[in-house]
Amino acid sequence: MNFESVLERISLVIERVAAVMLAAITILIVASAIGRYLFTSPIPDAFDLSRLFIGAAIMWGFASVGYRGSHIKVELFAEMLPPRIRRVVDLFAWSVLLTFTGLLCWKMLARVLSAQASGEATMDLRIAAWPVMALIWAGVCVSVFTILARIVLIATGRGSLDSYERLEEAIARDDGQSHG
Amino acid sequence: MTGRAMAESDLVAVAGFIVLFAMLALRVPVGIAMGLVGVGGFAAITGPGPALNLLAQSPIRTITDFNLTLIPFFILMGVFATNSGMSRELFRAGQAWLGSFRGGLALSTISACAGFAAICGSSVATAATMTKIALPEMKRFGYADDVSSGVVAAGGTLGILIPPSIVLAVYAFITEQDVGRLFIAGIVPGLLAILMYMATVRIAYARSLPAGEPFSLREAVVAMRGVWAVLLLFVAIIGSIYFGVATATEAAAVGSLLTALIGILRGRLNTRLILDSLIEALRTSVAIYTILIGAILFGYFLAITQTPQKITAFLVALDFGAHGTLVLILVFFLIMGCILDAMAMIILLVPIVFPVVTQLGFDPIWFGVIIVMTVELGLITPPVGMNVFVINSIARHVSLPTIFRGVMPFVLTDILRLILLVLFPSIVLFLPMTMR
Repeated sequence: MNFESVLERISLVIERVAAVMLAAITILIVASAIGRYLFTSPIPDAFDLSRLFIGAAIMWGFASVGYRGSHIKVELFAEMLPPRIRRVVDLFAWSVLLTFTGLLCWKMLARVLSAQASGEATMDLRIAAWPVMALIWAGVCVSVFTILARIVLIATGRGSLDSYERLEEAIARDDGQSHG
Repeated sequence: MTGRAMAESDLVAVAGFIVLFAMLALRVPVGIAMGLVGVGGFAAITGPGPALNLLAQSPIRTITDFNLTLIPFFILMGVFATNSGMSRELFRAGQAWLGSFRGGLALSTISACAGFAAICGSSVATAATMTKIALPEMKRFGYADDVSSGVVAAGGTLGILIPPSIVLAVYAFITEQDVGRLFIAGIVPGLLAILMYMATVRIAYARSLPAGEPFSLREAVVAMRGVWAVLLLFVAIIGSIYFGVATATEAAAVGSLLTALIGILRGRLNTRLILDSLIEALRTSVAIYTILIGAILFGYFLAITQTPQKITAFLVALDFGAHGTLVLILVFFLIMGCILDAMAMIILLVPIVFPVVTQLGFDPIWFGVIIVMTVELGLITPPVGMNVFVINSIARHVSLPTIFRGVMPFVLTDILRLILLVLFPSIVLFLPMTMR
């Protein structure tokens, strides 16, 4: 198995875990809303748990998007450049992303540690908040590596920041599924 | 603030914007460029310690903000709706009811876009879906390429206005407005857009439209079977928000779950497609959250350099009058629409112009609808109209100039609608005012 397919698999696993988190939170909020309106008793901590786990899903998703290169960016000027210069621009852009993510990883750790030290907890059940915050922080740490992986791919000419999945491919895939 | 400190903050503000636009041009993700300029600009004035502390507090607060959780849910609902083929049924129903009129397929496309917009908050997704479904059908029935692609490009913009709208939800967050009221405020302008687009089809293309097919009541009734789910979802979501039965977040979560359940019951969604939909929704959400993280950090930079206040003072001093200044702002948004994504533009520029707008006495809910309509106009105007590019990327045989030519009558309609809503704000505001 080559370097790219290993990265691709890792990225997919990360996305699947984050996607399952998103599904779980959706069900949690719906169940809590039903509980509140029909039985006047919402699920305890649904508010805190859903917002914390959405944060975790987003940050783990950030790791995957950092690898795939599919952040929202201005493409107009980059598309006018010849491939060699565009590669340099891509390297610069993702190095800036890496710098930001590195700083975030460093500073967010302080926030997690302070939550642990102060005993920050959820509103209803007083569950410690820091483990989920640590999960969010872990997402940032993983992002550092996934962004670095994309930089290596760009530097070695094996990848770019062009949209990972072109629209036509997505459409073709959709068509394939709906006909299949 | 002393004169020297003021000059220094002005310098930092100008330098910040130059660095920001340079980074944007060099393909740095929009949110990251905003975040770094935010932290860097703040550091230039307060020193690195307090600026780096922003990174410890602000991003984690943004991603765990409960008010924002409706964004992934509404995105998820749209993705589930797309992947379970609801758009095709909407098109068939539109065809059954409107197909007998001259240009019936074009009218059906607009109605299907509107129906799809009622469950999907993204214009690009609406345009992409309808390109696949409506364009080949219109070609088969002899519609010229410019007419058919223009209709799809314009119809696609309904996604951003008809609730639920993800852009309106983000506007609500950054301007601290009630998202429910904004959604309800989008309904009448959305309906007006549908009617005006349909009228445009009939007036602008009167000569080139093919005749309709004979009307069959039986077929029309049968076609409705396929769209009850969309109607149910829209009524459930918007009704619960309007009557205050559920919060927008709860409505969004229920909406996404119901869309998935309908897809499963109809045999359209399997485990694989559900997982793919969740991943797709997550990727889109991450891209939006990244800009929001950057925007909040950028907000500290704007606050410390007092940029919005200075721009407000500058624009008010120009003495163009309230509506003159508003036109200036809208034109600025249209120009920026050539380089920035709709969402990025709202998040980057609204915090800068919002104080001006409120100081001039405009209603924030009304302005939300107006600015979203302006951004929507940017999706179909040359030189860079995102919807036009999306159609071109799927239907390669239709050239960009052809689509732009086809969409031009709709651009004029959009401008006319904007003028109407600026002159008569109550068209936007009367419905949200009836909310409890």
